Amino acid sequence: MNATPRNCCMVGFALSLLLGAALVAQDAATAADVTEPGRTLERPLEIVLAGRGAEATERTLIVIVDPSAGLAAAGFADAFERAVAQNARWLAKTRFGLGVLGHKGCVVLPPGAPAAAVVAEIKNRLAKPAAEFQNVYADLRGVAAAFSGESGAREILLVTLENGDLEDDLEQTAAALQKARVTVAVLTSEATLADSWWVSRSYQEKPRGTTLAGGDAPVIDLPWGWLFQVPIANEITPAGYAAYGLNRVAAATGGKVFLYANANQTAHVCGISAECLFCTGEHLPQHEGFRDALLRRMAPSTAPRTEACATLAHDPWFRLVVRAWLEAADEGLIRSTPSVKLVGTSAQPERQKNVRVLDLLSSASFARHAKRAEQAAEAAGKLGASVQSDLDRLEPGTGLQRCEAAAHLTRFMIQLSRVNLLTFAAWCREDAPRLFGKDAEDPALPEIPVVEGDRQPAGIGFTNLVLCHGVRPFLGVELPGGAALRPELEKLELLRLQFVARYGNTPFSFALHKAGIAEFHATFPGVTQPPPRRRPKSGEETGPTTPSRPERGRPTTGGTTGGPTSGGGR
Amino acid sequence: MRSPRPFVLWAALAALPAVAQEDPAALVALLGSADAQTRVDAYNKLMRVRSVELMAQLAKVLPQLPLHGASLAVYLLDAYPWEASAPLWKKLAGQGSAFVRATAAAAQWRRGDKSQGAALAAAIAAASPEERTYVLGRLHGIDDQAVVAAVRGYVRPGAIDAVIGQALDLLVQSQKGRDAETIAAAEALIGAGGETEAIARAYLVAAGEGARHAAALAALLRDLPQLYQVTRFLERASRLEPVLIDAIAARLAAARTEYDLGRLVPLLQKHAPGQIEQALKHQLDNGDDKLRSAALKALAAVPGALDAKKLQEMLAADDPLLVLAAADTLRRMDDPAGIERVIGLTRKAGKHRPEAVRVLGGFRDARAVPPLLDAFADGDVQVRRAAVTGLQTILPDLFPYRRFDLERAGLRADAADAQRAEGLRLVRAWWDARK
Repeated sequence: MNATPRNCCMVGFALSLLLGAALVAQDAATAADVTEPGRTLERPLEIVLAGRGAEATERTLIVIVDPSAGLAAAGFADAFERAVAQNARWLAKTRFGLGVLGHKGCVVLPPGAPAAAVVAEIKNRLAKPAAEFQNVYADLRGVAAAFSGESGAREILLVTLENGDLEDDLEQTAAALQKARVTVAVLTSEATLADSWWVSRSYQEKPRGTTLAGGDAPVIDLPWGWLFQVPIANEITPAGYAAYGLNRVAAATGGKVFLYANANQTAHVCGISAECLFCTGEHLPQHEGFRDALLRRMAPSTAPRTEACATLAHDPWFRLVVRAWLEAADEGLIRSTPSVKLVGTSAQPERQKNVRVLDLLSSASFARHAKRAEQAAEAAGKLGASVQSDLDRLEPGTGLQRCEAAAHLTRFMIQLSRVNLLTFAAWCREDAPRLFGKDAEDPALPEIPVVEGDRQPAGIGFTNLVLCHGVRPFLGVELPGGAALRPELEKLELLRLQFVARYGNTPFSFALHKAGIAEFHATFPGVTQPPPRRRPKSGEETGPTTPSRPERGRPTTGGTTGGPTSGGGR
Repeated sequence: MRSPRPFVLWAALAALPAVAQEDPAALVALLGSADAQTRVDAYNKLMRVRSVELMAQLAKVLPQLPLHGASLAVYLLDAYPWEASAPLWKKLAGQGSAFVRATAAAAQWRRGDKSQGAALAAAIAAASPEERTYVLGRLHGIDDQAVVAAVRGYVRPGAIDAVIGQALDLLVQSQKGRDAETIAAAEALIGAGGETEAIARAYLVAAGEGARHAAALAALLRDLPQLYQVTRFLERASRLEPVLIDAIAARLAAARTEYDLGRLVPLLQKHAPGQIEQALKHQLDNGDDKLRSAALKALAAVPGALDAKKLQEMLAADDPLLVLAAADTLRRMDDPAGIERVIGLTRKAGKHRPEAVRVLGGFRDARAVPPLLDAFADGDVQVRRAAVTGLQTILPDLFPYRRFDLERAGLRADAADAQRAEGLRLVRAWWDARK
C-alpha cells in the first residue's frame, strides 16, 4: 500500500482511537453524582432546611434568590415559608442570611436575620421579578466572604431558574467557596443537551467579562446546526441535568443540585417548531422518558473544563465526532465547527470558525440547486460510510458512553442530511418545475393548486417533518425522490433502530427524534417596509446597563418518567 | 302612546308559530320566546345572518329581552368586531337589567376602559339571584378590585352552590381574588356541610391554604355526588397534600361514570401520576363498556402502565370498544398492529361503527383510505362525519406536497345524497389513480 498523506492520516487516526480507548476512564465525577431526584420545590427545601443531622446543628445558611418571573410563578416564596415552618425544630440553631442576585454585593440580609424576615424579603423580591442576565458566580464569590467569622457549618442555597449560564471565572468561584468552607446546594432548571443556543447567537449582549455557556457539559460535545434542521436539537433537548457551571460549583463544594419543572413542562410534544405527520398531539412515545440508569451513564463531567477537555482528548468516540464534525463542516452539511480543538492527545476549547454554507435556498434556480444538492448528498454518503467504518472498528465501552452516543448520533445525522439533500434535489428537479413551469396545470379535485395565482418564487424554504414516530411511517408518505429515496430511508430507519436499542430513553434519543425530514416549499417576495428612522439619542430613556435576558422556551424532560433518578413530578 | 309592557310583548311573540318567523327581525323577536327550543333555533339561525342592521336591532331589543333571551342576544353581539359594536355597548351601559348593564360595562372594561370597573361592580351587586350566574359568565379576564369585591358578595351562607362555585372559580384565577377577605368569605362557609363546604374548602386549597383544609376536603370528597364543583378548583392548585391525593385516587378507583374518570385522572396526572395505575387497574374488569374503555385510555397515557403485549392481547377481545381502545393506544405507541382489526370493525354493523371509523382515521396509513371511503357511503351521518374527518387528516399527511379540498370535491357528511355520491366517485377515482 502506498503511504499517501490520506492513508497516514487514517492510520494515525486509528492509532489515536486505540490509544485513547486505553486512557479514558469511565468513573470520573459526573453531574449524576451531584444531582438529586425529583422536580419539585418541596423536596430540596425539605432536605436543605432540615440539614444533615438527626438534631439541629449550628450552621449558617445564606439563601441566594434569583428573583425571576418563573420562580415567582412556581410559588417559591410560599413553599419556602411552609418549609421553614415545617422544619422549625431542625432550624433552631441555623443563622439565616439572604442574598438576591443582581443586588449590589448580593447580601440583602446578613447572617443572623430572623427566618420570618427572610421569608418576607423573598416575597417582596418575587413580587417584582427581574429579567436581566445575572452573574451568579460573581455573587457567589461575594457571598463567600459574608461567612467570615461564622461558626458551625456554612451553606448556601442558590435558587436560580433562569441564570447559571452566564459565566466569568468559574474555577475562581469554586476555589473561593472551597476556601471559605461553604457547601452550595443549587435549585435550578434543567439545561439542554450540549446547548448551542448562545454559541449560535454570538451577537447577544451580555455583561462585560462574562461568557454565555449554559449546556450541561463543559464543552459542546454534540455537533449542532445540521443542514435543513430547524430547530436545533441541542437547543430543545432536556439534558436531565443542570447547567455545567452550577454542577461544577456544587461538585467542588460537596453540595447538591436539585432540578425544578412544573407539570406542564413535562408533557410530550412531537415537534417543537416542527410538524408531525403522524399524530395530532396524542403520541405516547416509548423511547422518550429518561431511564435513570441510562441517564447516569450519559451524565456530563463536573471536572474543571481543562481536565474535562483532557479526558475528551483521549476519548476515541469524541475524536471520531470531532473528525466527522470537521469534515461535515467542510462539505457544508453543518453550519458549526467543534468547540474543542484536538492537539495531539490534548484538547482545548476553541471558538466557532466560519464554515462553508451550501447555497441551496437563496434563489429559485432550481436546476443549479439540484446539482449542488446531489453533489453534497454524494459527499454525505461517503462521509457516512467512512464514519460507519470507524464506528465499526471501535469496541463499545472503550470510552465515555456519552461520547459513544454522540458518535452514533452524528452518524445518523449524516445519513439524515443525505436523505434531505436527495429529497431536496428531487423536489428541485421534479416538483418545482411542475408547479412553476410554463405548462404547469392545475390538479383535479380533490386536489387544489399548491400555489395560488401565477406568482413566481424568489427562493426556497423548508419546515421539518419530525421523526418522533420514527422513519418507518415515512415509507408510506409521498416524498420527492419516490422509489429512489426508499433505500436511503430504510438505511436511516435501521440506524435509528440500532441507536434506540443502545441509547433509547436518554437525552440523545430524544435529540434524534426531534430531528426531521425536511419539507420544501417555494418562497415569494414579500412586501417590505423601510425601517423607522432612528432619532438622535437626546430625549431617549437610558436602557438598562445589564442586558435583558431574551425569551427562550425552557426545555424539560419528555414524558412523566423523565428525571435523573425519580422522574418528574413528586 | 306608551310602548307595550315587555311582558305583554314577549308573551304575544311567544305565541307566534316559529315557522312563520324566518326573517331576521322576526327571529330576533323569537329570542324572547318562553320556549327554550324556539329561542335556541332562532339563535342558531341568527348566527348565520350577520349584518349591521341585525346588530343594531339586537342592541335595540336587548334591554327588554327576558334573561334567557338576553344572554343569547349577547352571544350574538359578541360575534361582531369590536370596532362595529363599541358604540352599541356604550349606549347599553346604563340601560336595562343588571345583566345587560354588567355585560356592557365588562365589554368596555376589557377593551381598555378601566373606568367601567365601578359601573360593573354596581351591576354585579344589583343582579337578582336569577341573573347572578349569567353575570358571572361575563366577567372572565376582568382583574379589578371593585369587581372582585362585588363578586365576593356572592360568596355567603345561603347562596346557591352553583353561584358560590362560579364566583370562587372566577376569584381564584387572579391574585386579587386570593386575598384575605375572599379567604375569610370562603371560610365563613365552613360548617355548611355538603357541596357548599366542599366548594369552599376546594377554593381554599387552590388559594394556597391546602395545609389547613386538605384533610377535611378529603373526607367530603368521599361522598360528594358531583365532582365538577371541587375538581375545577383542584385543577388550579399548584400543589395537593398527600391526604387529598389519596382521596382522589380512592374516588377514582370507585368511579362509576366515564365523566368522573375524566375529572379525576387529569388531577392525578398533574399531582401524582404514579397513583393512576393502581387506581385504574381494576376498572379494566368493569362491566360498563364505556367505563372500561375510558379507563384503558387513561391508563395508556401513563408511561409504563400498559405494555404493548397486554394491549395486543386485547385486540383479540370480543368487545369492539375494548378492541378499538387497544388498537388506538397501540397506534399512539407507534404500533399499527390493530389496523386490520379496526378495518374489520368499520365494516361490521353495530353501535361501535362511528368509533371504529374515528379510530381508523387516526392511522396515517394508506390501508385506512379505502375503508374510510366506504364508510362515507354509510347511511349514518355520524359514521360519514368520522370518515370525512379521518380523510381530511390522512390525505394531507400521506401527501404532504399536495393540497386538498374535500368539501369542494363534495365530501360533506351532511350534503345531499347525489352530491355525496358524486364526491365519493371523484375521490375514489383520484385514489385509484394514485395506487
